[in-house]
Amino acid sequence: MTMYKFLLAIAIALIVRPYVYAADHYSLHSFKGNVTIESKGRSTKACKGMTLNPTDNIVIPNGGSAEVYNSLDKQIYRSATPGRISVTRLMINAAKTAADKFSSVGEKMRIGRKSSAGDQRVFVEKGMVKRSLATFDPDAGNAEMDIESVAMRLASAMAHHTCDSLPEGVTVDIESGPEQGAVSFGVSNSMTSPLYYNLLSFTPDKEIEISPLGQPEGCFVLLPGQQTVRSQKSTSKTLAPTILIATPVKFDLDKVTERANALLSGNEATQIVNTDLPVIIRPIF
Amino acid sequence: MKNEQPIHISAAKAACVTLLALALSFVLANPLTASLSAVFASPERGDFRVTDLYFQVADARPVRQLDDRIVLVDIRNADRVEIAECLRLLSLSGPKAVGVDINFADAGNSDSIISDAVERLPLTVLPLGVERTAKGDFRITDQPFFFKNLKNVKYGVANLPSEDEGSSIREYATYYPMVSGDSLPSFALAMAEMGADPAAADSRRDGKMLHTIDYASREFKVIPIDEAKDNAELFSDKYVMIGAKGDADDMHSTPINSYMSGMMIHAYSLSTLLDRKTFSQMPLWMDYIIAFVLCFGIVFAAIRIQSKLRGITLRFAQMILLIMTVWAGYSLFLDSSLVCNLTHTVLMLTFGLLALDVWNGLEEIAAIITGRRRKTASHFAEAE
Repeated sequence: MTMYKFLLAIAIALIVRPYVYAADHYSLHSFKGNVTIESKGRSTKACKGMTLNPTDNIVIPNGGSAEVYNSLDKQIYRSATPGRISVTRLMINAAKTAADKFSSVGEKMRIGRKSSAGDQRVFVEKGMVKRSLATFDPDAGNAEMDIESVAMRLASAMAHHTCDSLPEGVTVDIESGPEQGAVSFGVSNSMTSPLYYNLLSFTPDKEIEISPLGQPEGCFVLLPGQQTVRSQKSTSKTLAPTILIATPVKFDLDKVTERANALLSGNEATQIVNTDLPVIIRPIF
Repeated sequence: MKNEQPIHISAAKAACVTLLALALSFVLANPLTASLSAVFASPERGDFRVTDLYFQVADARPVRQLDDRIVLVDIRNADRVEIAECLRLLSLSGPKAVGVDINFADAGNSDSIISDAVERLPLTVLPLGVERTAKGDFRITDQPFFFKNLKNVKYGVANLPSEDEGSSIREYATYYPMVSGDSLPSFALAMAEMGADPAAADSRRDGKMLHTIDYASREFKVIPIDEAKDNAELFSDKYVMIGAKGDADDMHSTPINSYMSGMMIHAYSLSTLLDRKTFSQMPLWMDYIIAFVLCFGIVFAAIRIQSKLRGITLRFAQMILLIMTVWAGYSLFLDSSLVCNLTHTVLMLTFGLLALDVWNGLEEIAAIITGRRRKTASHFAEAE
């Protein structure tokens, strides 16, 4: 009886094995558009690299496409025909089309087809160059302030109203404040390394956001020996408290403020954190 | 001869023909544009070869081969420290050869990190840049700062041969004869030699410096450098290339697209070399013979056929022959790796009937002139 069960198990494994084995050989190499995969009665969103069974159906929307990778012959099969098609049929059709030289030539020469773009245009090309900050700050290279540490410092400073002193070489000169109906201040850097800074507002809802006086995206970079002056002619006397945040290395302000707000709303900024971190947080107005 | 057809019939016929011409212009706009750009090209667009068309047609097929012998690592914005870490990872992954398509020209703070990582990976190929001298040999112009100071490092020339500056990269070189008298392998050949592939020796032996890159229907696995650790097993026994896939300074025009990274071109070159794929060129005289025979056939038929269906028959024959010519060239290219430059065939088929119209017109003009001279001569003869 035991022998019988053993033999039965082996027989079942041999029958099932090809299906299991075959299923591992096909995967979704890539896709375009809102492609879905129907497998065993369930429909799931396509995901690059997902394993496919030969009998799974791929649903391709208008303008979409799907590519199936077959690890047995190491070939990638593509279909851009909208509709539902099984994995096996997709590969068969693709292979048939690839072998049809006449239709390949006709497809290239696009006989009878109008221009595919029509009135639509894509705006991918950008006529500009980018310059890495590493050229301005070669010593810092790709260094970046740790988001969590800076966020904790910021949240702590907001919660406890602390004010960091400015390091030697950094000065902030305030010429006029909101009470005068205009704001004007300058930040100068006479250190030997750049200074990265921006201005934040602390709203009545106890939320931190980028101040209207600050840089809307990223942060200012003050190279050694440089100074910036920011001024705004008319402003509300009830301008939200404005805070200067500055570091010697670049930082992702969006992520820092997002994390700091999370700490503040969760009341996690209850203790004053490490002040050795080279971050300056100082109220301006 | 007076046209006896009523004028309104002629006008209606002309209108119908014009509508037909309009319909044909929609159908044939793209093929005609392609042929016009090949013939009346601006200097930039003058860089066209018939193999470009064949590669584009072949590459557009819905089946591509994933060449899993070669794996690419895209460094993106990685610095030297991260690249060195990647090289250390590769030393644990058992690759067949590692090609670093990055020139560490200047010494920096992380010098020792990079040179140590390279030295510990004895299968590394590094790039060199060369320039051609007046004598036709080459001298080195770009080299890493630790050039020749490291053992177990092979160097390969990373230059990409082209017909003109900015032209498409259609070929890869196998070796470069240097001013010193010896020769340096190209980046692709150096990697094949580092991997001890027999195709490398065959490539050297055939004596040809330039080979056509087979761009059609190939793809390579590309792994971002920050995902290298998670995919370390993929590098085992592979030719691994490390470089930038999207750096604007290293983008080049190829037959299948106008914006391909140098690293990707090296990958295609290596793949072609490992496959021992070579293309033969059909002799130019054969192109002329085929062009002459086909054009002669169309023109002869135009002269001899007197039926009212002559025009439509000839035009259809012309179109079919044109399509068949391109199809035949593409089939030979795909099945036999034979490059047929059928430019003259296509052009002569296109302009054969136009040439006949010009000939007939010149004949008519000559007849008119000759007829007037005869009338003038007979007039003087009568006067005498």
